[in-house]
Amino acid sequence: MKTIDLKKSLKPFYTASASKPAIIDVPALKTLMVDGTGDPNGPAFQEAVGSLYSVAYTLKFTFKKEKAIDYPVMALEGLWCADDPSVFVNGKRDEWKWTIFIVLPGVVTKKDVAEAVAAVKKKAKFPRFPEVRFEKFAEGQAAQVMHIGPYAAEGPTIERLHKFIAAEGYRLRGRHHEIYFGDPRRSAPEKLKTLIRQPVEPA
Amino acid sequence: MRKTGTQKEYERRIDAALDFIDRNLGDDISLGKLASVACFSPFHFHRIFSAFVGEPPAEYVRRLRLEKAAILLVNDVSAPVTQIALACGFSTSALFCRLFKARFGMPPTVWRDGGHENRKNEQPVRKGRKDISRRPAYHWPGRTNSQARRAGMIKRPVVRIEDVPPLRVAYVKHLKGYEDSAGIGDAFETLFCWAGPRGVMGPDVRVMGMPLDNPDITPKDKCRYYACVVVNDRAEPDGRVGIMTIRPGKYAVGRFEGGSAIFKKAYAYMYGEWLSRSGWQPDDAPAFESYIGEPTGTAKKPHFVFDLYIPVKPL
Repeated sequence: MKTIDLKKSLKPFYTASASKPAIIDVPALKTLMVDGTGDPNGPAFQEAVGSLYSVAYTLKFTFKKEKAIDYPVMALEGLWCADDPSVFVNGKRDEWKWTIFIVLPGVVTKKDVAEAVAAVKKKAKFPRFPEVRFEKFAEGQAAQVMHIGPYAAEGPTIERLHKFIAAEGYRLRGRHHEIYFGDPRRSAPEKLKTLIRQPVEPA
Repeated sequence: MRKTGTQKEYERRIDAALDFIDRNLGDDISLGKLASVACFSPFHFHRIFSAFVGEPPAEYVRRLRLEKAAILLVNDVSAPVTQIALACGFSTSALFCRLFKARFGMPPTVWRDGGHENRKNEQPVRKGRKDISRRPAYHWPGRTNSQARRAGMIKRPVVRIEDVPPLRVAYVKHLKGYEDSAGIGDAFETLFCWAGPRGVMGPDVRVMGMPLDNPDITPKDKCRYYACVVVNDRAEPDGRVGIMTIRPGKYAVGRFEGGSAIFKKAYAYMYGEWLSRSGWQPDDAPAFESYIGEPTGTAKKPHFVFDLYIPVKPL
């Protein structure tokens, strides 16, 4: 059995200080992605999470069984945007646009993903199955900070990150990015850890 | 390696027979009935069962009945021996006493009055030979659990009583003992390969292990362990994967953490020390281990965190 320790090799991109934001350079990574619109507490988002994890775990155990390669399923990540950014402040969640994804190790190919998706479609019997796709995601230069606490209290942390970006001589580009480490169903809200990342470019 | 369709079908059928035995241990289980559950002719069934399980069906059923009775004798001290014999599927208490003595080397009443303490799964010793199993030099025969705990060997966990709803689980059987970690790993792998594409796996997945036999009574390499994962109402059995509902009701729950040796200590603590001063008694249902996250550490030296659930009823 060969073990691919993604958590170790990608550690700089999955750990961050809660007190001091930092600028990092994120390499291109293979991912499984699902797109959608609407409230993250609504059914569309939950269905997307369900289909994403089904494919991710099918891939993991197929690799373990048939190729003797073991790797961890990485944390859930989300990219957020909206046509009108004010909806993130005024709570119009129906207009939130998101892409959720999970990072894969380099050994996984597009064909492997297509096979896993076919297996899930055949066996899961989901009433609805949001489409899961394979995509290489190159985020590049970004600023990040760890947020500890409930999702609803991210505002001040995001503001602090944006101030840091401006002070370091950068400006925002691309989509707001979050990586979810805690499970909101199990962890106490005040202990939830979320890595907040914003792609940047020199101002 | 993928298994052939025939092998899978055989496993499924033998599994059905094992489930039938489990659920009907107290009733009459004839070879013919078992064979029809497994959809084999009785003649073929006998051979196939022996090959898959490692002992003939009648012997397997008798062993399970005796082991269940041995546990009930100790756990349910107020029940008359005859009642236990009948509840475990023996037609008369005389037959039960004879078989029990042959297996455990003492009559049921002696077993109940403390004889079980001395036996602790010593395999039958042939007449005329002394017990050749050496005891380690550091063995401390009078050592009690509380002394072990004071010596820092067992951390005393906080035990809570939890009301468990009827949990529906998918499970894969492992029949070769708790020390066969490769076999247990294989059972979990089969289970997860089934669970992945069916949308069961995710960060909120509940993975559990259910040991069905007491290693102090059942031969160590024959203890049954079911690898389990909690599923929804849509899940259906397939091949080696069965579906069952865990006994709902009151459980005593303790959190334990450590290497492979922690399981034995955890059971010893819950059954040996905690129960005896709790005001509860064990109920006739399997205990289970609910794992908190995947094991950490290395493959050779894994580290486990789990909640041990012991089914209980008021004393």
